[in-house]
Amino acid sequence: MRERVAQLTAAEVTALSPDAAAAAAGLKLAKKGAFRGLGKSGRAYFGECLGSAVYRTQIAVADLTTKCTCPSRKVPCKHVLGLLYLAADANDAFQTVPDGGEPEWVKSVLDKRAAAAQRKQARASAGAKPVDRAAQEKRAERRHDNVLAGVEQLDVWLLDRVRSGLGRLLQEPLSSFEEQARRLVDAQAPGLASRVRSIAARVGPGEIASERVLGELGTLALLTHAYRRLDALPAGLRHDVRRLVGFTFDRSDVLAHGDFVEDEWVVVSSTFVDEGHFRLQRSHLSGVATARTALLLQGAGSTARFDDVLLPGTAFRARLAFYPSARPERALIAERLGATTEARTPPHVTSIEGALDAFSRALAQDPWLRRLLFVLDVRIARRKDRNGDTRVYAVDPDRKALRLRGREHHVLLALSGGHPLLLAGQWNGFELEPLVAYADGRAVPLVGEEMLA
Amino acid sequence: MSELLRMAILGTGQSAGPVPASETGMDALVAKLGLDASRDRERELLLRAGGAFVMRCAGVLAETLNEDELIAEAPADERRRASARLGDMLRSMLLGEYDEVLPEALAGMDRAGVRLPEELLPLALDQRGAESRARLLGALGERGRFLAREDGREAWSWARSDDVLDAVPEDAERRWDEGTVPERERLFAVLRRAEPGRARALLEATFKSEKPEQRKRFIDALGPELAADDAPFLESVTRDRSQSVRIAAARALWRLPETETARAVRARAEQHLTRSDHGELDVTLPPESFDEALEALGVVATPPAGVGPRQFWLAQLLSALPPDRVAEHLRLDAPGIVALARSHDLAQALLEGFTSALFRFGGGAWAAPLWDAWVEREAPHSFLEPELLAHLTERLPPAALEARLLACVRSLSHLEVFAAVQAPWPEAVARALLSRFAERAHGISPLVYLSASRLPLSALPAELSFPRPPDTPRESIDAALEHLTLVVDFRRRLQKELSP
Repeated sequence: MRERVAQLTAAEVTALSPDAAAAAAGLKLAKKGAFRGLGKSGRAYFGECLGSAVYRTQIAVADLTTKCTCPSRKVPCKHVLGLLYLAADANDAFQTVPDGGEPEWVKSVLDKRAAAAQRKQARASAGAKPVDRAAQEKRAERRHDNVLAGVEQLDVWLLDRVRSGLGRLLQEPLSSFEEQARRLVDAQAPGLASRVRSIAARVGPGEIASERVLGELGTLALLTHAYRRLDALPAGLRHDVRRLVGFTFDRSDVLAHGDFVEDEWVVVSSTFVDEGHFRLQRSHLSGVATARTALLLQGAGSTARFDDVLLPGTAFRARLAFYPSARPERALIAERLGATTEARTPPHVTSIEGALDAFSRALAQDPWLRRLLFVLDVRIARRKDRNGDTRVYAVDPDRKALRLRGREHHVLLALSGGHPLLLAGQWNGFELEPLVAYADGRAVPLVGEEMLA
Repeated sequence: MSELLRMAILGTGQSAGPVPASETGMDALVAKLGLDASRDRERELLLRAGGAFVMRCAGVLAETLNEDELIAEAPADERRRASARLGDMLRSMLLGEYDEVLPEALAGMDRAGVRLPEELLPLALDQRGAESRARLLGALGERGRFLAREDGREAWSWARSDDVLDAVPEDAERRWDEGTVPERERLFAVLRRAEPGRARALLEATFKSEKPEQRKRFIDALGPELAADDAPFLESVTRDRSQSVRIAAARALWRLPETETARAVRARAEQHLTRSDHGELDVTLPPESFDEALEALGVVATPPAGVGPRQFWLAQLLSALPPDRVAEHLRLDAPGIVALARSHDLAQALLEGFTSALFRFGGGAWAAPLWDAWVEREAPHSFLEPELLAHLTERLPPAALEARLLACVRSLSHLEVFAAVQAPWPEAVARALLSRFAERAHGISPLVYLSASRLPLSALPAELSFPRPPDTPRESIDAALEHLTLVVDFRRRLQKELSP
């Protein structure tokens, strides 16, 4: 276990950083002189960082859980990153101590965690409490009723919007959307709340914006319509509608009932989304032999670590468990079967027409699908749109092209140099959002501050 | 705009009649729901619109682009890409952390034949300042030059030409006629080195049509290696319609000793500087009113604020005298002349004149005495601009520089001169400084910060630390020393990454 920290490369440490500024600050601290009392045991790496104040920093070896006494809200903070960079670069700078021989400020945290883990283990060993099925069903029924009430209210709101006209939306304060979203959260339908918020972000002048808002409102209406008819839906679609409304699956449920696929999985892209108190890692995987695609979502509280940091261009053998769905894509790692290997290009590349065709088929299975990831072999091109603005395109060997989202693509342009490269991007029916570029055997993330490495 | 969208924008409350068709298969599906056409218009509209939206997304066709819309391929790079770890370090520096180490890193990359990783090129191209850009040019590689071109980065326009322009291009005349200002200046510099006469001929052909500031820049760009062939052109430019151009031409002629202008200015200058029978310097100021003859000789009339005009003119005249000529004229060596000058009432003008002459004509024996004179001057308003002090410092022979810096370290005086000394500092000076740092001498924090990127790594111990004595409160020097150790450690890691 100790080796896991020591085996982290600088790239992996950078991947743990919440943003580029934190990584840069961590790198600056990655020297022995910046810390005192550097040490390592079988349980933790630790040190006191010397700055304007002394900050006590420790990293648990077992799961890379971190703790630092600094006031920074970033996780991991620059002191933790500095310690990790140092461990990657100069592991012999850390004095080895036996487990239990750590300084008191480290030992007390580890002992407390160990005690909590033991209590949890004891509870598990004592046998699971018998499930009170009646109570469980009652809770599920209550939730369904709450959600249904939220759906009814949402419907009223949607119908009101259409009655008064989308033109009035521009004059309506955004707080009206937020109020509706909060009601849906109260109704235990956070998925619907999220959709309402995303529609609010689209409201704007012009025909194109109105068309998009109408489309989103319409698909929301389709969703509420579907929820009212859950029992009539095929099983896969039923699961999708519940998920979209905001019901979640327990990991144990997925492991108990999910569809298992064993393969060598290449990490095609990984992005972080920071929700303030909560962080989400979205990783797309591609199975080498099965050609299956998998979407892994890992959430972590602001002070916790992700179970797995998945770097684009790496691969590992594993059994994934896919969540039940009409179009199974969401999965979790049921069992890792091998170590992570380096720098693989994605195994399955498609043409642009192939991608659009696949998107079309995916929408037929899941009409609420927002985006789909593809790996394309493309060159970069420019074309002026009807307003005279220059837009950037990805063009495949057949000269078929998809417009890229956004206007600034300097890094992509630099990586391509006008030559073909592999581009992993998400198509949303309108534009392609570039996520990772594969050039010269390297995987380079293209997404802004939230990128890995 | 579809009728469905139009009704949605206006609102069903404002629009009579049935919900328009979406003209997709959704209409039939919605019809199966049996909605009431009057009571459920809103729901019908939403469901049709939602379905149509899904079908629209599903039915997107790719655009087809033309060959000429593709971005042309960049040439291959000869340099190898920086390693991932070096890339991380470069990113830090380009973002401002340890940016004082960036010049060292870039110089190391130039020596090692290493270029920036592609993903750092946009950050590199965002760097400001001509000096920064000049340092980065090698590390940009072909891909960086490609990106500067594609992104239309004007500040890098001299890096945007199709080739690096080390050799004279075949179409030099066309580039001279059609190029941008930076491209023409770069072409002129290359041509001037390779075929000076041809460069001058190109310039002469278009000179009158250039803007005044450009005419002056080209005159200045004729370079340090002027030849007798350049004289007729320069003489003609001394009659230019722009004063600054006339003066630039006259000053260029100062460097051609056999020209009339050079002879005349020397004669004029020597009138103001002689030695008395007692061996003292006899210095006279030019007359109070500025005469046009002085301007024709290349003297600027208007002094900077706070400077007396006559002293200003005197300094300029003296700057036209080659140092060896001054020594001959005064029958005294450089140290002797400077010693007399620094105690003279007109010391400022004398020292400025001799220093400018040194920069213009060279003269190794003058560098050390002038340096001492400037550094040790105590008089109010006596100063030499940092840039000029840096130029003077560069001209000091290594042994002379080291001796002077060691003296500054010993006495902890004139520490500002260290800012003018480029990296790497002499090893003996580095070791002396480290001892002073360990003593935590008062007032040296700025020097500690400055030294971080300039101390030679070879002169530093493997473990660099400055432990604070017990019971000593934390002071500003502690932050400076911590910074020093961090930067040194960073530089060591940098060298490790740059080594083959």
